[in-house]
Amino acid sequence: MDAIHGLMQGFSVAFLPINFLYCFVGVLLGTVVGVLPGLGHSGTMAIVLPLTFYFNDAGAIMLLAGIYYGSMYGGSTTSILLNIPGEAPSIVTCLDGYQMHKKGRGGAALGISAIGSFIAGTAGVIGVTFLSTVMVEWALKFGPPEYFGLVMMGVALVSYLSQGSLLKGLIMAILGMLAATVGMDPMRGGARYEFGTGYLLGGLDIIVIAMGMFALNEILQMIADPPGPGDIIKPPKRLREMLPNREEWRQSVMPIARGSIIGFLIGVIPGGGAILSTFASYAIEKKLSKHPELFGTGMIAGVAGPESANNGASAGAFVPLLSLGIPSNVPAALLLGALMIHGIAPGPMFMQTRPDVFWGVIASMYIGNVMLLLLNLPLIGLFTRIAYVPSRILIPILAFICLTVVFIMSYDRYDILVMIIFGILSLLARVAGFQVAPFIFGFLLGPILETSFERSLMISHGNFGIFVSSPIAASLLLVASLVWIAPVFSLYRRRKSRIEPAA
Amino acid sequence: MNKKDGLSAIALLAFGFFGAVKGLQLPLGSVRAPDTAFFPVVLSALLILLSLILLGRSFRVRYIEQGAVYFGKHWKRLIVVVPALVAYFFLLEPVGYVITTVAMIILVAKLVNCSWKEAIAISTVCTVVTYLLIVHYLNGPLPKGILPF
Repeated sequence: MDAIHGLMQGFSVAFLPINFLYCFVGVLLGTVVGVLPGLGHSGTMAIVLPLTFYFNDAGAIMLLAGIYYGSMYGGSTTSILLNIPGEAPSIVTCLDGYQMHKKGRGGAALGISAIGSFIAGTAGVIGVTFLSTVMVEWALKFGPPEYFGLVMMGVALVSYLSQGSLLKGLIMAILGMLAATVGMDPMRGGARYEFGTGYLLGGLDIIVIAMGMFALNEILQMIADPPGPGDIIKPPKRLREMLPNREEWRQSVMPIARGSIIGFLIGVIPGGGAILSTFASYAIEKKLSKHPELFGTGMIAGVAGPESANNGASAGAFVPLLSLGIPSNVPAALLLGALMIHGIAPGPMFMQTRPDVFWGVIASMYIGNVMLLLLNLPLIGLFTRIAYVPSRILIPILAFICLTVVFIMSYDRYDILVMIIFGILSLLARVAGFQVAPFIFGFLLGPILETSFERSLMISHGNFGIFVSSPIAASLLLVASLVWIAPVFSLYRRRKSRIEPAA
Repeated sequence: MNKKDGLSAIALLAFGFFGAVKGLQLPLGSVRAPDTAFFPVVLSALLILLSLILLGRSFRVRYIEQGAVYFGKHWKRLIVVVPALVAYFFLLEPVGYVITTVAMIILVAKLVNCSWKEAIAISTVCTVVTYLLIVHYLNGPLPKGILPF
C-alpha cells in the first residue's frame, strides 16, 4: 500500500470521535507531564499502558504516542520560565531559554519553541510516512541472520550511546536479556529460572518491569529529593507577546530546519534519543553561529534548534518501531509493549496486517502536533500554573496510582512485588552509574536475538557462515562487533597510559 | 579504588555465576545445536566476563562517572518507604485493599511533609473512590480483607 493511500485510511481512523479524543487526552497528558518536573514521559506511559487494555488498538497507541511527543512540547515551558527542565531533553533549553526570559523575551522563547516543535514534529511525521514504507519493503527481505545482526547492532548502539560507560551499558543489556529468559524457552517450551513458582513460568512482564524502573523509580527519587518550586520568577502574565519579532524569526529559521533533520536522523538510530538530539543540535548551532560566545546568554538559536531536534527525534523513533518492530529508545520500547499486548505483532508485516493501526497512528501524529501547537501557544499560562502544584501533594497521588494500576492489571499481588524489586534495583543501578535504557532493550530484543540465532543455525544446518552470508547481515554484525569489543581495548589502552607517566 | 564500581562488579559477578550454575542444570546442547540452557548460560558467561573487566577497571584511580544519579538529601526516607512497600505486598490480601492503601499513602504523604489533614484527605479520597469504582461498578476483585464491605 503506498503512503498516500495509507495516510488517507489512517486519517479516517484517526478522525473517529473516540480516537480523536484519545489523541487529545494523550497530547494533553504529555504536555502536563512535560511541564511537571519529576515525572517523565516514560513513567507516565508505563502507568497509563495497563489502563489502555480496554481501548481499541489504534486509539490506545495514539494515546500513548501522544504522551511521548506531547511531552517534548511541555518540557520547554518550565525550562524557559523557571530554569527547571521538565524533561531531560529540555535541559539544554534552560541554557538560553531562561536567559531570554530574564531579558523579557520569555514569551518569544516559548513561542519559537512551540512553533519549532510543530514544524519539526510535522516534518518528522512526513519523514515517518515515507521512510517507513521504504524500510518495510527493505525489511521484508530480512531473514533470521539479518535480524540477528540487526539486534546485535541495535543493542550495541544503545549501550554505546547511553550516558555513562559503554561497559556498563553492555552489562545492563545482558542483564535485560537474562531477565527475558525467565520463563519458557521460546523455541522448545522448556522452563528456565522459574524456581518452581507458577508466576515466573509465565515470564516477567515488561509493563510491570517498566512501572518499577520508571514510575516507581521516579517516585522513590522524588521522595528522596523532592523537586522544589525553584526560583519563583512569576511567568509574564501578558503572554500575548508570544510571537518572536522579525529578527528573532530570521535567527531561528535555519536552526529549526537543521534541528528537525538532525533530530529525526538521531531518533531513527537505536539509542539515539531526544536527549542526544538536543545536545547535538545545540553544539551544531553554536559552531555554526556568527557569535558562538553569546550562547548561554539568550541566543534564540539555542532554543529553536534543540526544541525542534527533540520533536524530530521523537518522530524519528517511530520509523524503526513501526517498520521493523525494533524500538530505538525507551518510549518506543513501551509502545512496542503496548502493540504486543493488543495482539499486534510489530515488524514488516504490521503495515499489511493492521494498516488501520499503522496508518492511524501516523495520521494521529499530524493531528496531535496541531493540537499541541494550539495547546502550547494560547494556553501556556494554564500549564505554567501546573508547575506550581506542590510536590508534596503530587507524590502521594502518584504513589497511589502506581500501586493501584499495577495491581489491577492481573489482580496478582506478585506483580506489586516485582515492581518494587525492579524499582529498587533500578534506583541502585542509577546510583552506581548504570543506565536503565539498555536493560529494557536487552529485555525486549533478547528473545528476538535468541530465536533468530537458533533459526539461522537450523536453516544452515549448523553452519555459522550464514551470519555473514548476506551483505546486510555481515555489515550489521561488523558494526556490532566493533562496539562489543571496544571495552577490552579500553582496558588495554588505560594500562598503557598508566605506565607511561611513571617512566 | 572506585568503590561503587567495585561493589557493583562483585554483585554482578555473583549474579552471573548464579545464572550460569542454575542454567547448567538444564540441557545445554552444543553450539551447532543449542538447547534450552544455551542462551542463558552464554549470557551468564558474558556477564561474568564483563563484570571482571569492570572489577579490573575499578582498581584504577577514581574517576568521575558520567550520568550517575545521587540520592537526594532525604534519602533516609527510603529506609522507611521500602520496607513499607514490602509490608504492603504482604498485608494487601489479608488486611484488604482499602486499609493497606490508605495507610501506605498516608505514610508517603507524611514523609514528604504533608500535614495530617492533607495526608488523610488524599489517601482516603483516592482509595475509597477507586475501591467503590472498581468493586461496585466494574466488579473487580480488589481484596476486601477484614472490612465487611
